[in-house]
Amino acid sequence: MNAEAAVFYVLAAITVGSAAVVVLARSLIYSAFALLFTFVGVAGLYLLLGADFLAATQLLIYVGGILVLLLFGVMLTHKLYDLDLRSEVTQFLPGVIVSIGLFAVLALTAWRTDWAGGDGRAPAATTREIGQLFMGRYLLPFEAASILLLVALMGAAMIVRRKRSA
Amino acid sequence: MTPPVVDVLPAIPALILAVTGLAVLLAQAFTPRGQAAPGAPFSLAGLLAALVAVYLLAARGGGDLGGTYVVDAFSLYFHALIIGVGLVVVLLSPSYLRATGIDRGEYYTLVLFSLVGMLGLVSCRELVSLFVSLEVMSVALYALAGLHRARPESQEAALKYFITGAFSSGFLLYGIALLYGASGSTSLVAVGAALRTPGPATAALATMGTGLLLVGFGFKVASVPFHMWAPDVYEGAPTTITALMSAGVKAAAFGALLRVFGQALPALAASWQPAVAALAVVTMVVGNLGALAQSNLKRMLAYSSVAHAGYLLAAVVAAPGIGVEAVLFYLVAYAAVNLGGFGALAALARQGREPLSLDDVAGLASRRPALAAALAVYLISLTGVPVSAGFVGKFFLFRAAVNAGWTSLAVIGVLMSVVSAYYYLRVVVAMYMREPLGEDAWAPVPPSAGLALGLSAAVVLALGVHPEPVLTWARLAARSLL
Amino acid sequence: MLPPYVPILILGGAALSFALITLLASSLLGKPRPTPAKSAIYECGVPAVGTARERFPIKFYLVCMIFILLDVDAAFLYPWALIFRELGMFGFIEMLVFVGLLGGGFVYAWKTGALDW
Repeated sequence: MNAEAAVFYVLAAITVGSAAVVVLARSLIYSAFALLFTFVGVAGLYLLLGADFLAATQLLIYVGGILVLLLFGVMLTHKLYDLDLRSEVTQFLPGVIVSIGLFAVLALTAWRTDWAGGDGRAPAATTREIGQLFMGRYLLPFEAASILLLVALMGAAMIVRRKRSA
Repeated sequence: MTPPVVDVLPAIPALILAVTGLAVLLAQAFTPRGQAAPGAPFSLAGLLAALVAVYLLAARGGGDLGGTYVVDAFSLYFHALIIGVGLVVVLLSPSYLRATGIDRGEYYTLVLFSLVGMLGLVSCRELVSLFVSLEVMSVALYALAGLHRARPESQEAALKYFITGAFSSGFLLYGIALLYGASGSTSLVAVGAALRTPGPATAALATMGTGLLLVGFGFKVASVPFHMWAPDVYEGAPTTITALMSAGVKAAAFGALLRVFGQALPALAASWQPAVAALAVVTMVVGNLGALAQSNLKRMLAYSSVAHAGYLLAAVVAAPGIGVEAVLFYLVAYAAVNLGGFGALAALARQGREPLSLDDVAGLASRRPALAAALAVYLISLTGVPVSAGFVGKFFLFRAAVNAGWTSLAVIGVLMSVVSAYYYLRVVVAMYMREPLGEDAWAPVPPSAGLALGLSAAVVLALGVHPEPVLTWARLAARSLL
Repeated sequence: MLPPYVPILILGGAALSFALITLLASSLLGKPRPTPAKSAIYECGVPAVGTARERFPIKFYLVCMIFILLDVDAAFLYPWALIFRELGMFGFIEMLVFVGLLGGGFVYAWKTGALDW
């Protein structure tokens, strides 16, 4: 096993392990903190794939932004710190069967597929190429992303707005 | 390196709407607090300008923006339909917003932005762009659904729509990722070419991706296993927004569905056609039976919208051929009818209330004869009685299914249309055969809403009597997809 | 693809092990001798008032949301900035539209009082 594979397995273990904590943790705040490691692990995987810009964005936006928003969400909610989130287990057996079945199908497909791998070489630095694509071929989705952000801002402002007498 | 040259002309209609939306937003920002900016006139001007731009684009023969956004006959057809829907919704809105006390400029901005998303959805020939467009449309609608902050139903609608919408976006994105893995491209044409000669190794992956896409689109068009959000959201959202959702979102989602399945996935037709057929059957049956049980008119129309997704899916089964033009034609008829139906309810709103039960519309014919007549036209068209757009549209839908060898679909569709007559005509009977109950609680029909409702009714009747021009156009649009 | 990122990996490993070793060493070497002052919550030296586990005002949500939107906006700026000189005027206008749209949103949020505390 070479070094790259070793790093991959470490990162994968961090990602999957912390994701399991997110799902199984008793308290919402633990879940939110475990999510930090999931995000960092995914960023590491991106880096390993040579997607440097994506990795940086993942850290900048998910770790630096989304996670903070999540924690705020917990803090905005009354008494959610100590709330025991575990609910009664119903439909245990069907749930297990469906999850195992879905996992088996996905894993088998992923295993046996001849993935379209491009030319097999990762690009040296992606940021510049991404910039060229944004400004050229993908101009429209790029500008549409701005509209999407604007709409999100409006939605947030409308939720927060205090009720005023019209 | 030379700077990239991008021909932005094809995107002009969408750009006009986006700029108008921003202008309305800024106008609202600089309007004194507690007052509403004149959003409706702005929006009408923008929509008319966009319509002119579509006409000019059509005269120019369309265009292509970097291979991601294409304006062919298919997109132009949907552009006209979506902008038309926008015009009617904006005409219906001012009186409704005032009657329910939610008159603010942001409303028009969000409507315009959601229309931008719809235009993108039907024009994108690349899966990531398609997804961004879908999100622009959806996020704007989540906010619009919850616009009525004082009504708990409206908040519930926004939350339900947001959660199911985010869930369905996840399915769609997963499907896109798997298709990318199978083909190495997100361009619809390249995916189609790569899947035409699939090795056994990628076939399973592509099929799974197709299935996930189908689930994602199933949520958006409210087909049956994925329809549970529709009644609550349609009921809780402001009625003009419900009209926009039932007419615009459904048209845009079907447009994207046809483009993706027609251009990228024809090679897998053998595996998705049975799935779509199964969806069509359960959607037609559950939608119509669900509508039978409703006493709330908005919920009844919501289930009816589910049922109509089923009729449309029955023709999507026959998609690579005659099915496309049938779907395109029916979407116009369906949009006119739904704008009219929800618009009629919205036009009567007064002091935060609007007619919701059969008792509320009892004897409407004697008090608002013109509006009752228009509503009767819409309901008759929804049933599919001859000399209405609904009849002609359903005829083409079911003929497409039969021609493609799915006679059973057409039979179920016709049977279910007969069932639907009960709940549609019940409303007509209440309006014409019953005496009004109590005082007249409803608003006089405002002129702009009257114009919108008249337009919709005229379209319904015109398509019923003389469907040829739209049909020719639909055929042209369908051909550009191949 | 590994070599260019080896320094980052080493840095991450060093940071992680520093934190772990410090924690481990203090728990191994020190003896817990709690006093009331030591076990009080540290609040910059001032005695703490009330509990930290209070409900926050919803306003924080909007501030955080705006931060994320700016974050995303900034992330989009990096690839553009790298090729800004090659793009010339066209690229400048493209980015102006992009930033201007969201800028309009901020003007709206500001003027309608969404940022008023």
